[in-house]
Amino acid sequence: MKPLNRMLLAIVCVVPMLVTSPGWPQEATPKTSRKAATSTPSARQQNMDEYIKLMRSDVRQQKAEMMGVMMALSATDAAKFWPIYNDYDAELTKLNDQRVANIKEYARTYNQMTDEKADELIKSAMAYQNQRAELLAKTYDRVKEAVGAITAARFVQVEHQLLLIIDLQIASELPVVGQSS
Amino acid sequence: MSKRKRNSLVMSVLLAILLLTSSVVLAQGNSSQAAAPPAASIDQDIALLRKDLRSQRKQIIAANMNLTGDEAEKFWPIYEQYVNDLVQTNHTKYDLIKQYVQNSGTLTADQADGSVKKWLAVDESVTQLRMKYFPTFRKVLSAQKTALFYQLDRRVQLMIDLQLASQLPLIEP
Repeated sequence: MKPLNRMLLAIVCVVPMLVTSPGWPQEATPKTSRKAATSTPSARQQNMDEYIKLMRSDVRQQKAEMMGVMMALSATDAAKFWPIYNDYDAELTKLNDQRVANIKEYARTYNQMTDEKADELIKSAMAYQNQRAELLAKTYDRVKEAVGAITAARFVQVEHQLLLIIDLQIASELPVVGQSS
Repeated sequence: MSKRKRNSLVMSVLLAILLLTSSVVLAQGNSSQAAAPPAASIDQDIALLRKDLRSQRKQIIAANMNLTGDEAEKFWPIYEQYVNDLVQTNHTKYDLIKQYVQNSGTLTADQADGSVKKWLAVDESVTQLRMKYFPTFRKVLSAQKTALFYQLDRRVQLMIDLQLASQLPLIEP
């Protein structure tokens, strides 16, 4: 197996471990913390917010490290690439705020899902996907201008896979609509 | 069907999808190291893979939607239309995979540029297609069941996309 493929396998194993659970904190909480289970709703909310914040910062850091390994840039290209990546990451983080809010709303309402709420959540999720795709396309153009189309294509390949891994992990952590835990 | 049985079926079907996509793309990848496989062979493999994936996808949806007879009668014709549109949209993606395999993972700057733009455009078109069909599914299903369908469909799509993407070699600068 090629070293790059081994690295991708490692990514497939590591990122899901980072993403697991915060996507569905209400189920994890009673098993891991009796105190949290008996605390007030606002304290639980604060715990969940802190947990999500920590998880997101870990995932972003790991993702950037993996990107660095997979891109294997020369010093000259790295100096041009990373400022663009950092801008992209900052914009993606803002977009992901919308996604986290959507997931929290889903976690809050999935047992009593109404027609209106399901409609609102699905449309919001699709709008997020559209905006993220536009952001990646825009960033591809910037990377291409800075370091050329081949390296920019490699960036899109790696980023696309990392986003898919995170998406799949989040999707598989969420219970399906109408399924009681 | 009990929840445990349904979960078990979903797991086996997802596993089958993983095996299907890995075996076909890996086979193409290995042969590309020696010499690019004939275009007809790639076409046949891809066509077979896509047919199998469609069948597995339908099984997952059918096993998890718990449709009533009346709902099923209205839902499946729309689903078939949706999948047909999806197949048309995805032609571009599979053409790109074929081109990539035939070029043994090496592309010129112009080819790379064209491929990335087409690939990103396909992803956006798939999201647009899903949005376009939302009101159509809503006419025949409750919002809850529509949301359930979209959840299941997205999970399967992510699994297929991830497996395809991870089997393709990274482009070499």
